[in-house]
Amino acid sequence: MVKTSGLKYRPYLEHFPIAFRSGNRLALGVHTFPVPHRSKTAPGARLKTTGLLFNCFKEERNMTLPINAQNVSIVSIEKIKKLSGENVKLCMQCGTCTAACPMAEEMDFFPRKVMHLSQFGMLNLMQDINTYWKCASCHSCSVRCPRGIDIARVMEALRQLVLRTSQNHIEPSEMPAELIKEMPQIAMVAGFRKLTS
Amino acid sequence: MKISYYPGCTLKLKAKNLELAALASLQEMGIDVEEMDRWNCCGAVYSLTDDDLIHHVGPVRNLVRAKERGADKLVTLCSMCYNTLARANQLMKTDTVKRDTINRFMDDEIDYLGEVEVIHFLTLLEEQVGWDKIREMVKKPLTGLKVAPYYGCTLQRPADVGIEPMGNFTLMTNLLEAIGATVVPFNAADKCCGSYQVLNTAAGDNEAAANVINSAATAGVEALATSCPLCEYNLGKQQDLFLEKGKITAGVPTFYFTQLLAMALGVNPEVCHFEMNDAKAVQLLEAKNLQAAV
Repeated sequence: MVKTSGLKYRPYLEHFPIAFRSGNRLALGVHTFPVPHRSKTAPGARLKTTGLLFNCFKEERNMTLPINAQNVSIVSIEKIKKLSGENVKLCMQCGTCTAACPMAEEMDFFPRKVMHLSQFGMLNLMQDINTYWKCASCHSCSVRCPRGIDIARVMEALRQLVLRTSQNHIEPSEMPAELIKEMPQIAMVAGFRKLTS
Repeated sequence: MKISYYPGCTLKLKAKNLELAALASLQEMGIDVEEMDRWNCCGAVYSLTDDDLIHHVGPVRNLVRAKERGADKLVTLCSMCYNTLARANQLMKTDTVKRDTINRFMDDEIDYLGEVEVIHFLTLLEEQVGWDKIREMVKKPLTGLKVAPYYGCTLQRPADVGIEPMGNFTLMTNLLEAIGATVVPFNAADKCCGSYQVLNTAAGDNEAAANVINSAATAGVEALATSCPLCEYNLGKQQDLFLEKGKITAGVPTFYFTQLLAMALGVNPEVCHFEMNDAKAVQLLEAKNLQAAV
């Protein structure tokens, strides 16, 4: 069994800096995240944005992000859990979801990173990334997750958290008429349901 | 056994070729299905949020219609309709709390408890006809045509509604072999084509679809067989744009599997509406002497 007090004596756990719960208090951990250039600094988070980052695929600028009670949002964790019905804390960060994702190369953050940020409820770090908007709900990740998490549902929850504030990700009125004429109806029904409020 | 047929919105207009070829084949094989009356949109995607029940009402109402007509099975052709209806059915079967809420909400309808079984057209062919019988009925075998089955996402995922386990493509492989085609396996048969993300990307920038076409071309596939109008759009109709942008090196024509079946069964080619496919599809058929000018 993993004991939080034994964290520093287990070198491999440094690669798994998941907040281990001890009673009601979150154990401290340190994790590095690439921070997108558009991201607003989390209130209370001691972050310095040092440069532009257009695509974490090409260039990663790692920031040290202290994981403590100020940065972690219990409310957001609960929101994601309630909407998705999934327990993101089961995620052990193996990255199978990223490996299986057909859209990963177009994403700002890979699904694994989004799962990790979701574990801490760091919605403010995720508000400007395109990962959950690029998710095509193909369930490639969900069927392969060794922890049985339906990641497509987590992505849906992140989308809905934005859409339910009456924001559209795409504007149907701006779609070219030619495209509407030739596109199958299921594309529009599905797309509007996933990308508009 | 009574089988109801749910066409879905796209099959009546932009994927007419998928439906007409399927119905003509069924007639040729002597299978009787009845199109449901008063069907409505299934919603195209299954609602994934836990607190959102209103979007299940659409698919469940269709299932109620099928139950009212005394159908044991509901057959669909479109992969997205299949997925949405089958998952809604699964929900009504297993989640008693949500089922009660949905049934109470639709108080003008009869209660639905998951009685109807949702099946895909491929399953119907296997159960009601059988591959050996199809092989006997073939009039114009598609000899020499190298086809790959392309399932996409919604036919196989998630596992509890998949028409067969992940990684197996036996249903469509058996069908294609029965109609005389050479089946070429390729490694992107269950990869996503990008689905509705076509709305969210610039024209011709759909990497996921381009990747599928590239793996098919590398494996030596001459034609892809699919059952989803959105896959057909993303893979087939976007190929010229991909070629322009240099995302693919060679095009791979896409067909609906029902078109290939109907052609092999000797159905009038006008019914199959090959002109609605990509222009390359017609060229391929002419090159293979499978179909005179359509």
